[in-house]
Amino acid sequence: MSTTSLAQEPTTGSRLPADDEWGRLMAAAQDGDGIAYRRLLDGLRRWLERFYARRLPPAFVDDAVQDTLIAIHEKRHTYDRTRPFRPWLNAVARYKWIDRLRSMGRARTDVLDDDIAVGDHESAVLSATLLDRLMAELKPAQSAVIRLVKIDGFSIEEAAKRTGQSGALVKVNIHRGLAKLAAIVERQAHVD
Amino acid sequence: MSTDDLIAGLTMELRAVGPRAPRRELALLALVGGIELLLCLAAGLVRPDFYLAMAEPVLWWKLLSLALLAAIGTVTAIAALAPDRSPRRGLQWLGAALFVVLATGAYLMLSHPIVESLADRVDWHHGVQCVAKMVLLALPAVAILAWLARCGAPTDCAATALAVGIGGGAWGAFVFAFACPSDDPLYIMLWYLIGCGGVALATRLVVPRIARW
Repeated sequence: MSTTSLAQEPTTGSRLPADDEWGRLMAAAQDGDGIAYRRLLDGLRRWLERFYARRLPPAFVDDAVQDTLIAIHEKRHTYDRTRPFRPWLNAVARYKWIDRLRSMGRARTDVLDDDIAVGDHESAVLSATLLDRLMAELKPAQSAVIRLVKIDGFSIEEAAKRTGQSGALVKVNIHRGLAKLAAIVERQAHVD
Repeated sequence: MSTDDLIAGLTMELRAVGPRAPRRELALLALVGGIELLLCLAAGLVRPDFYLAMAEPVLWWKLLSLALLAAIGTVTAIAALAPDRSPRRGLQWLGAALFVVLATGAYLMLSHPIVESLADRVDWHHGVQCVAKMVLLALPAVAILAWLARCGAPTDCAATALAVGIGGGAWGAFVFAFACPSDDPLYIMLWYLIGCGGVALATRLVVPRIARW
């Protein structure tokens, strides 16, 4: 199988040939094969970009992809080459997703300058369908401020004005909402 | 740093790694646990009436129960160190095993009524000493499991930490059971539960910080 076909691997599908190919590449990487590792990371990068694009606000996708690639590198010895690669990859990506949701709650929010052009921002946000579905499980007050501050880039004060909440309440709702999102994802992971 | 640069950097620093070997990890724990037990026995820490106590079902209930809990806890913790393995099923087994252990203890307690007062039976002064010794004896197993958790990649750190604590705590209690002179199921259930529970609580608080990756 070519590297190109690996890169086209989507998040759907139960038994895809890429599983075995990625597993073989990881096994080779465990043995120190740099060429196989490069091919693997290139393929995983594209897969992770799609994975996180559906689950995180666009501004967080790149960092999440890089974090996960580093985690894959540091924990590559935990891949059991006798088992399919996909569940291992999914577990690592989901763990880092939960991690990212938690860190979003702690991170300072930088307000975007009005002059900065954001290409196709809206469509990117709307494409995060899974994130939207998860947000629906939060209280409206929580999802509203998370959307405003973490996705749309408004300041705490602006979000407070728009929602009628106090600044402190906005912060609390963001923190609690993101913690709840992380808990929901974690719970689903244990059910799966 | 761009993702391209990151990938180039990771590729450049690639070196061969041996895949995790859970059986080797279990063997390491068994070796350290075995040495600990042998050292305790060699140091004469066995209760003086051990051979007489072997005729009593309480001793076997105590030893087998703790060995069972230690085995399930340890296997659960080791299995959970792979990202795609969850410790939840193992914890359910631990819960079921604990229920059977306590039910058996309650049966033994009711079938051999003891006339002493409750305060004498609980004997908190000795109980606290027992707990301290159990915790001390649990430390080697807990330390190794925590180190393995740091080297591994648990994705459910909280549940893994609990399994580490129950496995390690039960092992410490198992070793201590050879020295413990009490044959009262009430005393055993109370203080051993406090000892193992204390270790599990401590690992639940500490190990997720160590194992986070």
